[in-house]
Amino acid sequence: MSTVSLLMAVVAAEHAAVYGYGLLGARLDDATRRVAVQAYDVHRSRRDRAVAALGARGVDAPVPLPAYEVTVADRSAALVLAVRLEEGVAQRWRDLVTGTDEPSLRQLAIGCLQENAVRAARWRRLAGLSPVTVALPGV
Amino acid sequence: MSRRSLLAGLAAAPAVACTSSPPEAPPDPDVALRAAAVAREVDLISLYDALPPSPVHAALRAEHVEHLRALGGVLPSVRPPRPDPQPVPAERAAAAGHAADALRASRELAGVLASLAASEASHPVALA
Repeated sequence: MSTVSLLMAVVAAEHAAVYGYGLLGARLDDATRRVAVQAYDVHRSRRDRAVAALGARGVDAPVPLPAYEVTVADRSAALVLAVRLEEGVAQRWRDLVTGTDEPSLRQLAIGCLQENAVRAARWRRLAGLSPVTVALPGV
Repeated sequence: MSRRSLLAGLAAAPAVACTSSPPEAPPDPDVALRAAAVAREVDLISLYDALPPSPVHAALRAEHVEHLRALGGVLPSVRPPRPDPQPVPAERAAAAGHAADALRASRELAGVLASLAASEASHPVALA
């Protein structure tokens, strides 16, 4: 898969993460919502980095879908969704690691994958899920 | 060039080709990077072996065993003792090492190292 295709997939996943975090925050208490807002901001930033990387290649980034099929009934569902969002985005960043030889892009992807894994572990812990970590994030 | 010297040269050419060493292939950088990653994982497994038993320590040790397997490494039956084990700084150091090496590795190994770096970056969450 080309670097452009992988970046497009990253942008699409980050769009979904931004949407999801915007939705799930309403089901969280104030302290946990602050963590979700931070994650929302990070995903917006990462999406914008990927969009810029596509722009540098003369490619228009995909736009977000009008809506995503997701419901968040309560706090528990919100925490599980946060884990799923991080895991989903992690797969796309890892794909980019294995699909580019460009040092700056690979470095960005490695850093994002690490951040996804840390956030996913924090959400699993808050959700009471076990194990808190996984051996091979993004796989 | 005379006809005789041309023929002599042609006759000598195969002999030269057969006696000279073939050009050496450049060393595969993945070999050293993989060995370094295996050493980091073996060290972390030894570290958890030196800690008091707990479900968290057992779970994290198991992940390092899986990391070792992903690298194609083998756990030595005899390992040096690991004095004063401090898992959080050790995990962070290993994560940084894997991440740095992932920048220089082949695409395939980079993916493995990046996942290992991400896993180890997350381990302090479990240890907190």
